[in-house]
Amino acid sequence: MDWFSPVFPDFKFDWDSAAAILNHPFFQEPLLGLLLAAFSCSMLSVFVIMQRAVFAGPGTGCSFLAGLAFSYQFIPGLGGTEAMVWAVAGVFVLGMGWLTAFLNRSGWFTPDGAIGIILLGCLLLWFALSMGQEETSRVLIRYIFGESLEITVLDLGFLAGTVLLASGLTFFGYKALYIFLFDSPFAGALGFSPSRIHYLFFLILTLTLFITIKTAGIFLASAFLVLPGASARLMTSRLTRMVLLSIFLALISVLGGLALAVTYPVFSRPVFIVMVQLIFFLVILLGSMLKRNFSAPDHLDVAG
Amino acid sequence: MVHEYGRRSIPVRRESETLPRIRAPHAVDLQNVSVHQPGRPVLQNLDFYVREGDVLGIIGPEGGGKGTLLETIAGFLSPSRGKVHIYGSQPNGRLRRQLPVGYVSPFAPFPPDVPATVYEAVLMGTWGTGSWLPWSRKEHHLQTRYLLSMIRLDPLKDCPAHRLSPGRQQLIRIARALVIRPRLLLMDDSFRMLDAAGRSLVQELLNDQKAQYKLTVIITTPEGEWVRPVCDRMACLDKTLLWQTHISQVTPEILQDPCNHHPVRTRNGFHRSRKDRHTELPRAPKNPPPPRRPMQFWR
Repeated sequence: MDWFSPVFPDFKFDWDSAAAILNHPFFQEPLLGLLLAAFSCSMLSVFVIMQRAVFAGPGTGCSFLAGLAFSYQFIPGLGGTEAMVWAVAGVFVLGMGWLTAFLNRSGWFTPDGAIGIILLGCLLLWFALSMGQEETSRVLIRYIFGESLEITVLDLGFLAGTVLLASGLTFFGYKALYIFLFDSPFAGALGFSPSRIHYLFFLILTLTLFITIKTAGIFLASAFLVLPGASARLMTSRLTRMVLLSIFLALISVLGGLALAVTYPVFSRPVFIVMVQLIFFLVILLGSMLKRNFSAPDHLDVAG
Repeated sequence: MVHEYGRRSIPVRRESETLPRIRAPHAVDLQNVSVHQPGRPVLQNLDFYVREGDVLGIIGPEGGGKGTLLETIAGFLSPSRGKVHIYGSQPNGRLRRQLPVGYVSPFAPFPPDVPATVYEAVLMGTWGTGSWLPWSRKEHHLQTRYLLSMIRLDPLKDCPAHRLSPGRQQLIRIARALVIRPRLLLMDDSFRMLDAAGRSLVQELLNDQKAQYKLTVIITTPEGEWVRPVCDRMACLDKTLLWQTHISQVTPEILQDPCNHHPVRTRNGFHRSRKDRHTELPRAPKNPPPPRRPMQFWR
């Protein structure tokens, strides 16, 4: 942990206390949950950056809050259980994800434009439904930063599912997604269906975010959905390397944030976000040096 | 289909159902094709074919429907009337993968947000025929390297594709369409961004591919001079096919104003029948006699 010392001079990592914490089952599950969330979000972040849908995290977060407020308002009154509340909220969030994809695919709005419209509507719905409902508001505000320490085994299962989903999309949909993002008309000419790829990507993204927000919170999910991919984009021009670098940077952020949280008495979840930001700005500072390897040789006239 | 004969209804089989399916001799066959977009016709009564191995250049004014014609042939658009056949089958995504069909869209710059090297941009052309796994076959890599050397971009294969000039990006698009060794190549205004050196490179590339296998090419362009060296035949399209002829019949005067100088004059502007579509007819007189007045019986 000496690599921390230039940034944090007083930093001295306490291995014993860290080991004691990590041995505690109460802490193992949140850590595993965070690692899984970081893994799936950072894998998708590469495609989010290329799709220019960087507000997908806050947008899905708002639809999450609105959907949950809607569910808490109506489902318990109809005799629904907690599982039904979550199911209705999930359907609401997926519906909003589909609507975002539709607005973008129809050519009326850019991805971020479509997300902005949905975000605003959901934000207003959330306010309207939570107005005067103190209990509901208190429950919903927890999901802004997330309740990592309350992660259950079922949540871990869902998070593992998102990892499988994101990995499956990246591995088996690599060619289709890559060529769709690079040249959509040519993807159609090759026999792919650009519309199907577009809607599938948005639905998988929304589902992953829904599960991640439930455990890690809106801020953390949004940060992991943008910053690792953006950092990796600055470091390399190859998609495969971008995906691997993005995952690596996200996992490093979680572990680095954990180290800081163990050493200093700070609120742990913002520390993870600060770590991702820190890595991003470090990459920007070192960007010119790292990109040198991927530019054209000087003796060749690239531009014409 | 059921015909009534008295009380009994006898099923009548169509001729096409009883006879074995005969493979069409032509690469592309359009039968009385019309395409309409909301509020206006884009193509009307197109009736022509392209022989296998031919390079057909289609010239005509902007907005004459050249791009729409290629999109209809590729199967992206459905004709509102008539039939389109590629090697005897109706075009769709499956046929485009099976044949395969190469398509070069009009120039649009590669997006800077999506990282792809020159090598990857060309290799992408093989991804429609391969498996779902994220790697490509060895022969695809070999073909990619070969085509990159043909278009003289092998020294730049590791450069980001979006950083190249528009002409070189267009060369990448053409190589990308050829990397799968298509039987039919559709090039929609692909020569626009190319300079003279680039056009000669494409000519060299097409001749090289044609020497290796039977490649049929349809090229659309507003400037006939650009594509003349690579074409076997040439046609003029302005919502309908004005003429089609062998390249030797196309003079510089015709290329300057292709809509008003017809090398082949057909009745009513169309080919008279499918049989004589390639028949060279004498040019119509410039000052036709005035139409005869109808007889007036009441005098």
